[in-house]
Amino acid sequence: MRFWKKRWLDELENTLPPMRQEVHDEPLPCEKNGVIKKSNAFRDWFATHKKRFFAGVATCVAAVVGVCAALPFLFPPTVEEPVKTPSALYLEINPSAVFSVDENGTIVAVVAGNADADVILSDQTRVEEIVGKTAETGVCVFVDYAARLGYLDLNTPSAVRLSGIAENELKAAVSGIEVYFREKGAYAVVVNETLSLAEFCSRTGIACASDAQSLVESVNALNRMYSKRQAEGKTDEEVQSLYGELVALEQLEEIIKIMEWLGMDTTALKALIELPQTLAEYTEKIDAYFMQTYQRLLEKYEEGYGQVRDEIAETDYEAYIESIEREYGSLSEYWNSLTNSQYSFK
Amino acid sequence: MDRLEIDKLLKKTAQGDNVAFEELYKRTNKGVFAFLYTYLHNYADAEDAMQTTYLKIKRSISAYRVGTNGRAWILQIAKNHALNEIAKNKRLVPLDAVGEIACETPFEETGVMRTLERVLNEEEQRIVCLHVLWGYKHREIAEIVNSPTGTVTSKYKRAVEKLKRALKEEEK
Repeated sequence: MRFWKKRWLDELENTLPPMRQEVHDEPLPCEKNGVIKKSNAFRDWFATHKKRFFAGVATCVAAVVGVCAALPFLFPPTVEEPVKTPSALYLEINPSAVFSVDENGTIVAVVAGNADADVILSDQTRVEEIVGKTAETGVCVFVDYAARLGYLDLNTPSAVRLSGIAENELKAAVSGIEVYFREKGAYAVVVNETLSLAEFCSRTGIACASDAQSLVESVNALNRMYSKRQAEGKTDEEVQSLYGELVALEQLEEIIKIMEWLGMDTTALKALIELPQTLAEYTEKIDAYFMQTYQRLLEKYEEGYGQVRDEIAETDYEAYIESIEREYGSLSEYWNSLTNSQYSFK
Repeated sequence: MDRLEIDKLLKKTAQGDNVAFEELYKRTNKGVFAFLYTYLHNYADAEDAMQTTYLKIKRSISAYRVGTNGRAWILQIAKNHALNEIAKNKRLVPLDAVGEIACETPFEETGVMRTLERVLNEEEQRIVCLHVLWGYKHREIAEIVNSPTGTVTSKYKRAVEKLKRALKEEEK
């Protein structure tokens, strides 16, 4: 259901007429009385002492210019460069992902926080659209893929949460996502939280790090696919069971039935229904499954993603965020009301 | 609707800035209309009253004290006009007669305005309007309607639940 408050505002916007001419033409009381502005003592003085005023201004300007010219020689400036450190960002939509960012603000690695994120990150070409980009750009690419695959419906009010350990990187990424939503005409909010190292590790499930550098190194060392991290150290039997949990086998069977009815080749899909016997087979099948899922979701949600929506003006977007904050107390509370999902990194 | 913004626009209007007045209209007309509608229950009358409200705002702008509550001032003008109209025309329309007027409204039958009318009583409509369109906090609304804050909060929540349920039904 489209957000009812937005619907209400749209209804009123679309049905109410503009201001009537008689209202527009009604003179304001001060116009009627011939007084546009209140009396101003300075203005009265200026009207009679213009030459003296400009002479005074010229003298002041000359003095200021002289002092400014001498200042660099008297007090050489010492510009302190802000200390750059690596950082990390955690984006939750469902799907969820962690981005490690180097000291220059460039994404070094992106790892999936859950199996749905694997659908996006299963292909190296998509990863390359994210890694090597600024946090502001790369995070937006991930959000856009989430929207293309139907995980984020740009046509209904929604929210994403972005947490980070460095406020600058976080703010830049938040700003990027907000611009993306406005340009797409999406009433979606970015809930953002600056976390301590310990809080970040607790939220993501990543092993606690002593400093930002260690955290980033931990993230970089992880397999970017959630489904493959889950399989690490498991026996063949456990891997079979894991495959059954991650792959929507019943849904695949339904799709196969429809495809057979349409006379389409189902060989590849049928192979995915068979449980893997080894870890190697698991890896191969899970990759194929996510690639197939990516294509299927891309086609399924193409129309919704491509729907024309008017770009949202900055003031309207800010007003929308304010309305959410009024309704829920804070954006974090809004996020809590939408989801209580927890993602764990292993 | 930001209270400070409204105050700023009223101040500029009082100084003779017609552009500020137009901006004020743009920012507040939806809230004024929706508020008047809760009294008049009729699109044509509410629209008429809305235009007259802005006319009255212009005519009495010098009476507005800058820094006081601009929202409340505008709503007071609107409310007084609505009550005068009701008394003058004796057209206090009972809610169960809404169906007869449906043909006079450009709002969709399954839209939010019509649903608001159908499922909420006048007080609930006003509470929802003041909170959603005017940005009043529950405790501020409580002062306006002379009720405890808790009562306003629970009425608002119930009203929104009823509204959402009704809108969901209509979408099916």
